[in-house]
Amino acid sequence: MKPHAKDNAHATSSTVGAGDRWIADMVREVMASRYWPRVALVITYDEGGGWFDHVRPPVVDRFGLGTRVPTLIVSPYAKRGFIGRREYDHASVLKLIEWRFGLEPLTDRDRRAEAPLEAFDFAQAPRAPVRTAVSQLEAIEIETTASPGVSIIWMHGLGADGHDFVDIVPELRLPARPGVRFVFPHAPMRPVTINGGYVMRAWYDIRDDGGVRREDPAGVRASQKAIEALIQREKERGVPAASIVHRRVLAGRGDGAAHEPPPRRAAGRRHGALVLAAARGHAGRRGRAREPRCADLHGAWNPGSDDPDGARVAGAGDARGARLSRGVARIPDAAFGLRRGGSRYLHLARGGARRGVLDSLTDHAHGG
Amino acid sequence: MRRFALQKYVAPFDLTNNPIHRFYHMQRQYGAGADGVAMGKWVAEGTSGGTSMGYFDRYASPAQWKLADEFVLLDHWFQGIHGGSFANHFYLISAGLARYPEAPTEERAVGVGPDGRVEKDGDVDPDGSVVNNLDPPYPPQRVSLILRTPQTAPTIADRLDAARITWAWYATGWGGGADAVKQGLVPHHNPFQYVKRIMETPEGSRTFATRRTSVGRSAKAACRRSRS
Repeated sequence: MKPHAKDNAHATSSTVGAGDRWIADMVREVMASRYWPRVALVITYDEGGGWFDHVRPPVVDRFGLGTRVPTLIVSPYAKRGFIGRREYDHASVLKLIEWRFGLEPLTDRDRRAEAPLEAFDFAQAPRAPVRTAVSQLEAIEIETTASPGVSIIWMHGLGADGHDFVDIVPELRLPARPGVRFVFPHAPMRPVTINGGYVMRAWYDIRDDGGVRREDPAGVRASQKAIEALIQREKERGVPAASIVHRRVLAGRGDGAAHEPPPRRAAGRRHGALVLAAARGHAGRRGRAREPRCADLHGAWNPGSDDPDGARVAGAGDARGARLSRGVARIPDAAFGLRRGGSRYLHLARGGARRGVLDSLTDHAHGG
Repeated sequence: MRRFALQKYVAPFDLTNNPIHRFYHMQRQYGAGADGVAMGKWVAEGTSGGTSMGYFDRYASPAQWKLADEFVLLDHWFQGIHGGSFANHFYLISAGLARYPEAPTEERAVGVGPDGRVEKDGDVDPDGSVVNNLDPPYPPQRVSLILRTPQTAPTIADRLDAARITWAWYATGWGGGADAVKQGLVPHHNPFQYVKRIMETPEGSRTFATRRTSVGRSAKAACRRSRS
């Protein structure tokens, strides 16, 4: 199977991210098909794309071998988590087919190639399909120092993108320590019903249900998972224990299905990231949603309210919401007294956001 | 030149520039750098500055890493032929290089020395083997540099057909007629499009034609149809 130019991960026609998504799609389809019990997928790249590798390729003749390309074997009979270090090249695909069906080699190259048999254990119980849909968001990252100890994942609002908040970093005038990694993910592009199906960056679809805005619960869940993956990533990158500010993050209103609690691992104190959700729309606002600006932020952060995140999301007094908020650090609402600035530029009012972030960093130091 | 984390500057879905990856260039890049260590000339023999020293970590390709964690990663798997796409695709089906001894002079490399040194670069080596990219002899084509000789060396399709084993090659965009390239087909990634028996004989084209309708999408459709 060969991908479309836009999905082939080749520089200038495609990207690493698009290639990964295509592979995930194809593997998912094969796993869901009746072929899965008998399948051996070999996932490889034609060439290294001109990117550096440190391993000098073995010389087999004047044409190669060329540089290494990572290759995956996926099959019900593939070993689990196995890294094979024997020497292979693309003729190993031919060799595997020839080995399987008892065919003659085509040239000296495939005659000499090794089939990747170390990848398989044909005696094992056949493996079930796995989920390949690992969410992956495009994101901008800014680090205030090398090896930052704290991460802030900052979500944008409807129709904006991660770039809209990048300017906030210098405005915060953070101290040198602890270093902070800001992660500004871009929401996926999708049609938004209340905006007449206009395709824009949105964490989930929003419908107008007789004047009430209703978020698409499946979309909410998908984006929640995507954000969880970012949190997990920060954790795995070694951000030390830290609090999460998990504020109005992707929890719907008016539909029970959208009220799923944040993941358990996101609720404890000992966790890898701060999550700030900026500018969810105003409840009950009618008409065309617009790109959120500072004025929206002001509303979204709801200055002055003492309701913790979960309670605000699920509705004041909601017991589950209160539970969700336990152990979740908060940036004081007043910290986000933002006022409207230039078109794509944020001015911070009253130094509040800075103070809020600083308080959180202190909280990390003491509570983490 | 040190490696650096590209994703500090380029998100996984952002386009990068395109480090050169051609047959002779790549061999020169294997050469020793100033420190005397091999594989040290990626920048010196490249054309895109330091780009080729950039790397993405596992978070840029989470699906592939998930599969590596769950299944098997082979990390000493080498591309068969130095350089770029077409030579490696053709090698994937034939274990050899496409032949074009009739190539016009301007498409041929001249003065090939050791370690990939050349007086003049070209897509066809002095012996007539196609070492870089040329579009297929059969349409659709994307560029005007075309390998005009249909290929007759045996491929894995011959072996499978002789053993009466069915096979399929899916290429996204195939079946799009004249618009195939616009729809994303990359002809020089489609090696059977160079093979005379597949493209010209009725039995070959039947095998290929019934299965090549549109790759990717049809691969997906084929899988879906097969769900029990």
